Amino acid sequence: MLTKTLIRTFVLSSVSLLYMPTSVAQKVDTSRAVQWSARVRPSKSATSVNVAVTAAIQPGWHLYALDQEQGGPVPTMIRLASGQPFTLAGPVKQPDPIMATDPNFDMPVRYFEQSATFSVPLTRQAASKSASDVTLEVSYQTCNDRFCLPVTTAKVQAHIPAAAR
Amino acid sequence: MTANRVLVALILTAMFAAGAGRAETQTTKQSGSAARISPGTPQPSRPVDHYRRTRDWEQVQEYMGEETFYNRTVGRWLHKPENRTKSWQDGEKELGIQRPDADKAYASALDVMTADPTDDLGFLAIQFCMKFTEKEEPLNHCSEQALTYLDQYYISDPRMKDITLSLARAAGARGEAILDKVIASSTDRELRAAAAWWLVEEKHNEVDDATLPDAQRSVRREKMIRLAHLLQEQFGDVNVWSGKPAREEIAPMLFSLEHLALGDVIPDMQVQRVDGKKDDLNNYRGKVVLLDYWATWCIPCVHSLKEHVAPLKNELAGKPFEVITLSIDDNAGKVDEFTKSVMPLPFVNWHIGMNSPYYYPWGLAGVPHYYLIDKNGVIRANTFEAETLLETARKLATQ
Repeated sequence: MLTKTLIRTFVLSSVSLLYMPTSVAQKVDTSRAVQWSARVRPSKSATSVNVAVTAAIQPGWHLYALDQEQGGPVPTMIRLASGQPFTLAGPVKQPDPIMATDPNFDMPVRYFEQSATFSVPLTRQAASKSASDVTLEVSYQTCNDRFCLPVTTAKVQAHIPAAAR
Repeated sequence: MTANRVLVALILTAMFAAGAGRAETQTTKQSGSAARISPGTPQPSRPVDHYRRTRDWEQVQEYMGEETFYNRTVGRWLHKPENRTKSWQDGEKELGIQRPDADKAYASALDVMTADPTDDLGFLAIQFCMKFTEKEEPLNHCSEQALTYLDQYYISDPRMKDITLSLARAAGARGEAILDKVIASSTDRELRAAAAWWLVEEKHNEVDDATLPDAQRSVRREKMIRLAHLLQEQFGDVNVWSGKPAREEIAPMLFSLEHLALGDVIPDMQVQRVDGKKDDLNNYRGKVVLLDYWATWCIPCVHSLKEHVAPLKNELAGKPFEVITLSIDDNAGKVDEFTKSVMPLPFVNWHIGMNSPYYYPWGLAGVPHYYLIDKNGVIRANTFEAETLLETARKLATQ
């Protein structure tokens, strides 16, 4: 029998912040390959805000890097949802991805495993200094070694406290 | 392994006996504790030793913390590029840490739930044992007992909803029997929906498991179709987990169960080829056809094409065998580029895109996916693993 893909999912609950180093699943479970969350990093400035967007990646799954070259896996993209009192203040930063060369594709494949936290710098519009929620949209594609899920868009929200005086 | 289990069993029995004995000696001291249990809940067989129970639960929590620490630490080590080919055992040696002992935690959780299987702590202990079962094939003492309590006390308890996935996935026939009971007799509507949902999610793949006997597959199929109908008709508005109502979520699965199982004649497909010309699956009747759903961005699809599909096509050259690729890329141009820069595709190549009526509505969620169809259009394999259908394809094409 073949060693099948390593995929596990867990129902969120008080006792399930656990995952398995090795497990054998009978089928492809596509339901929760990557889960996204966001929080605001403390900042002293009244106008600049930094949001940390974290991907929790199930064992065995790959999330592709922001700078994945075109022509292979689709790079992850993080953007600000429209109609909010914020603007992007610079490029989104990512941790160092794993680099691999694939025998079929003439390019390096850059990806993350387990977890990745992206840093999104925002500028708060001058008129809006009160507390508010910011919504980010993450488009991403994900694969394990046997199976891929097409690009999907997740929305993540972070609460931004009122600006300091 | 077996010897190990026997040992664990002995230890558990011993601990259990010791625990029971100790509790008995304290009967008078603890006699008031039964009054704290709300009316209608079962009376514990022996008075609860709250001190000991709290300590037992602390041990379980400590274990969970250690397990998380272990996974994170060794996981991070394995994550480093230079360690990518190494094992968890290598990581343990290198880092000088050990996998925490689960058996002790199971024994403690068993004590916690036995004292009172219905209060919050009892439920957490049951949940702990069931979750941990997800990763271990055979049930252990703790999960066996948890199943007994779930069957006895939780059939209509909304807390059970959290455990339905574990029951469907990893608790074997006992787990399925409990879910059947929930569906048939629970008074909690959402719980009934969750039980039906996870049974279909976890067991539907058996319908297309060619290694199972026909009779077993057909019993499975009947049950899955019945549950999917139930979800659509009685629980259509319930949101089980995804945010979408069950009616919407189950529709593609139901279509696949009713029309795309092994032995069914595949529905007709009218599509466009990559070169823009119209094509029809009917044009290939009389040939064995392998439908290969893929995308240019899907590395595993490309591996499978190269390792399994292309060689099979070569091997069966001159035989009545056709490979049809169905790309779900945004546009057909991506496939053109791919054939120039990565590999040629000497097959019939269709471009269907992600919004095709032959993709999501057929119950497909990712790529690759394969249907193997015989000369009469009958589905003979329905799988995401090409290597499992090669033998059948050879046989059908050379018959």
